[in-house]
Amino acid sequence: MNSKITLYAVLLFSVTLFSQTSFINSGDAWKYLDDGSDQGTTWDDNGFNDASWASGASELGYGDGGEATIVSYGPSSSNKYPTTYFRKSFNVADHTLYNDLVLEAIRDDGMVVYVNGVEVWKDNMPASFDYSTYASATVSGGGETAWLSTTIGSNLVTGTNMVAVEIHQRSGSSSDISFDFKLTAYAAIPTAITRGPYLQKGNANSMTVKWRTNTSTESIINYGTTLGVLSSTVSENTLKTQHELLIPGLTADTKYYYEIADADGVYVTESSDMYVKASPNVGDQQFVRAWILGDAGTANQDQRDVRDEYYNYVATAGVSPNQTDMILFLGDNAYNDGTDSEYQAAVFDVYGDMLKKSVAWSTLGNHDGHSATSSTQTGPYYDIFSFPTAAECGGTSSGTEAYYSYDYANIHFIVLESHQLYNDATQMAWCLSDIQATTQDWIVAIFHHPPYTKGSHNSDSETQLVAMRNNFLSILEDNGVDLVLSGHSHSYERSYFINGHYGVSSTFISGTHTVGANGDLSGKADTGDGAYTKTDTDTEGAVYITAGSSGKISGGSLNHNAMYASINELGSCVLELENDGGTGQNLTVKFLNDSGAISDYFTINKTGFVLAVDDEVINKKSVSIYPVPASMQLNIKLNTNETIENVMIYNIIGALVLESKETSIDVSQLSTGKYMVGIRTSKNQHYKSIIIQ
Amino acid sequence: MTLKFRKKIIVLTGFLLISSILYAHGDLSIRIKEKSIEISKRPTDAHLYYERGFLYQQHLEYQNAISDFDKSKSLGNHSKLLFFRMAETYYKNDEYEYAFDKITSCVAIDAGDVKSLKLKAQILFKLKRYQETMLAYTYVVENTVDIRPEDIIEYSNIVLAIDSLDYKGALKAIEIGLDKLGANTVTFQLKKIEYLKKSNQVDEVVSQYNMLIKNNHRNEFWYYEKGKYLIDVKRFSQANIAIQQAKLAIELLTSKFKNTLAIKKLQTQLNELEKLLNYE
Repeated sequence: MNSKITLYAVLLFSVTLFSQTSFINSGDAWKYLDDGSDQGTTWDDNGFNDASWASGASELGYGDGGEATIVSYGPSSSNKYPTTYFRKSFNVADHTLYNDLVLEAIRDDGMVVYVNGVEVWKDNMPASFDYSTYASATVSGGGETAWLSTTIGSNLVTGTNMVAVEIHQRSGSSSDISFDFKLTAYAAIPTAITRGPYLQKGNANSMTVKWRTNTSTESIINYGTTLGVLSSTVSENTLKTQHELLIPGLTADTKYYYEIADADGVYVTESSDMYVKASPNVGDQQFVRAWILGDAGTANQDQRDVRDEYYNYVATAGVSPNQTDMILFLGDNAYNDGTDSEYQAAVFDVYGDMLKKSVAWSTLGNHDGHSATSSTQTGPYYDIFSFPTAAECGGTSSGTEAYYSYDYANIHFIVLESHQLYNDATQMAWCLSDIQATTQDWIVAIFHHPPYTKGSHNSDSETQLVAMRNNFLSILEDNGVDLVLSGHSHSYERSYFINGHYGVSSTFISGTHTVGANGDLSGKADTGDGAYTKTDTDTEGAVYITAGSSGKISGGSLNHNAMYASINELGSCVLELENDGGTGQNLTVKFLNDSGAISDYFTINKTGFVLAVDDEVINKKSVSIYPVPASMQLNIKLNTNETIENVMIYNIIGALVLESKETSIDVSQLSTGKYMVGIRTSKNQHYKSIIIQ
Repeated sequence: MTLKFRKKIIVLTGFLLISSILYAHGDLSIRIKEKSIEISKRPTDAHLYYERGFLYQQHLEYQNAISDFDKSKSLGNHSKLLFFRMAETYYKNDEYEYAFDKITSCVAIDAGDVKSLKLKAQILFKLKRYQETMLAYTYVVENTVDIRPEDIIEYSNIVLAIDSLDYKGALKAIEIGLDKLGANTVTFQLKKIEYLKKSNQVDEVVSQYNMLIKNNHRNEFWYYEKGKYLIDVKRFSQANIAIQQAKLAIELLTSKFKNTLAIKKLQTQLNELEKLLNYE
């Protein structure tokens, strides 16, 4: 007895000291079922009776020649069993010693793992599956012997535990399957960040921070406006690996440093280079810089070169260095299929330094759409990004992440979905409502498939491109859009300053479709051509950019008639908005190539931002009303040859709230808001707008 | 010009021509070709046929898609996803009976899959089996996470397809959407107005416009729509108020918006409404 107690104490001490126990090792014996039967959904339970199953040591499988145990695939080599089942039990003396499990497996082709009846790991299998489901892809070459690994929160129990694994073939004629497995339990895996952090849905008062960890843990962000004094905290206690926290209560246009922690402490420390910057108040006129990346997701050196040149540019910028207010992804962010691992390689591993301090926005590209679908808002693209659906960042509520809008300073951004929803009436109706609701000085539209291009795609003939041109351009242009950004073609193409061209390239007519005296010129403010201009009376004109060369170039004829510049170079675009030295603003977009040169640029100068209405006195025609805003009395002054017959005041929804025949009216009982005053005189009927405070 | 140089020109021209054709089709054609090469190397791989079939479907080559899906099935692929894609292809090709046959097989494998049930509902709708459509779609609406506005609209359309006067049911569907996606989702607000109009619920229509007017900083377009509707229902004095409020709202716009084509069109429309009112 004493020896048993001693042994237990030694084991307990060992576990505590070394913090891990290997419960399943390579080469261990497994129960297996290889008779081609469908075991339904209860075979993975702890209590399932597998007494009749065969037993053998791992590695189990057939076809590769290196198996310790060969399992059967059935009578036909061209119609092999789709699923083979494996079970292994093991004993845990005290489950409370363990918080995390590291599972490792060799699997060929697809695998689903259950621990104590709970599905904990699925690899190379579709979201929904059954006995007859084949694996998603063929595992071959090095993949057949590579150990995969995942970490999960422990769901071990004291006593008998069960690991159940089903291995799925790739097809009835596939040559092999393989299975080997290890399970190690830990007291605690040190938490480490594996993705992010990255910023989403920024507005003047809040920011969403997302990140991924290697183990399930709490979500805690400490933040503050001063490094070393992160005195505010947001947290969520649910253990998870995919974290998303909203930081509320921010002050507009203010930088907050942050660190990431769990119950054990900080594991992403604060730094001067990691912060959340709340958006400016909506409508504020100030310097804004946006980094624009189109079709970037190659995860190769070209993409990194483009990135590095932007980093150099912004670090040495003469105005507001190191300020990047947002990253605009124009779609095809991760080749070839926008999977989670491709996003890791092409987005998070490449732009990590910027993503932790600049908000990322995106539109869906066709390659993102290989693994994601807007009709169900599922897939890695929709899992990775969090976009506003209820106008959380300004704009009009769309109810979907597929298309949305947001405001930043005095710019309104409209993001449309052109891959699957190019003919979608609901998207069109929302776009019209949204652009007609904005009061912002600048309007920028973003969607992946360009309305004008002759790069690696042809906007004259390709379905989505033609549809976007026909369905959306008049909505945008009639309501004052300034800039339209697209990707898809792997080159840089930038239009003249244009309006009203909805046909093919050959129908573009300079002079008819260009706007203003210099719309058919370069738009370069520092040359004789001058900036493109928009005023409060000349409101038409937009520049269209197709910028899909942030990761690769693919050429094309590059001769669209609407284009001022068509350049087959790697690069990204930089949008900068700043005061023009007077009362207006300049919106400048530069194409920065992979050598650091600015291959093209243009400026739109806009003036005439002032309000139309004089607040104090409306002196129009023969009637004036004052003061505006009013609070106690409202006075009406008429021309001497008119007399008041009746005054009716209506609220914002047209309900009559006050009626008088006086020229000085007590309005103190009216609540704050906008009203319409109808004044019937001996000669006229007048209507005026007033504000009651 | 030397012969060698001429050959280079011919080769280059041919390449460019082929490239332009390929580019004209986009990347789907390229991917189909690549998949065909894979199939030629592994002609008994059921999944390759499935994958190419899906590419054909996206490329609108529905007969080729079905052909590949059938081949995949004959090679042992009996997965839910295959049946789903077959159903989807038949549906897109307007072959609804075949589509129903395949979606039935799909749903038999997973009775709770909302994506399959939604397609089933859409197929049943085309087959005019409306009660079954409602059952399937109700389940979808109630159980889909991240439901889209378009799904709710479609659901309400199905309600009306079953009974063209059941605006109460259609509005209930819209209310589900408003509840799930937010009270300000403009898509639903517009649809609600449409159904209220069609069911002659005048006061409710006016309330709906009033809500949009109150909830938007810019409301000149909503005032116009309200005024137009009030003229239609012969509430002329109220219509006049709405029209005047629209005109004042335009006056209060910054010049930038006042001078957009959309606002200029709106001013013309408002003037026409006023003329109509004066005539009344």
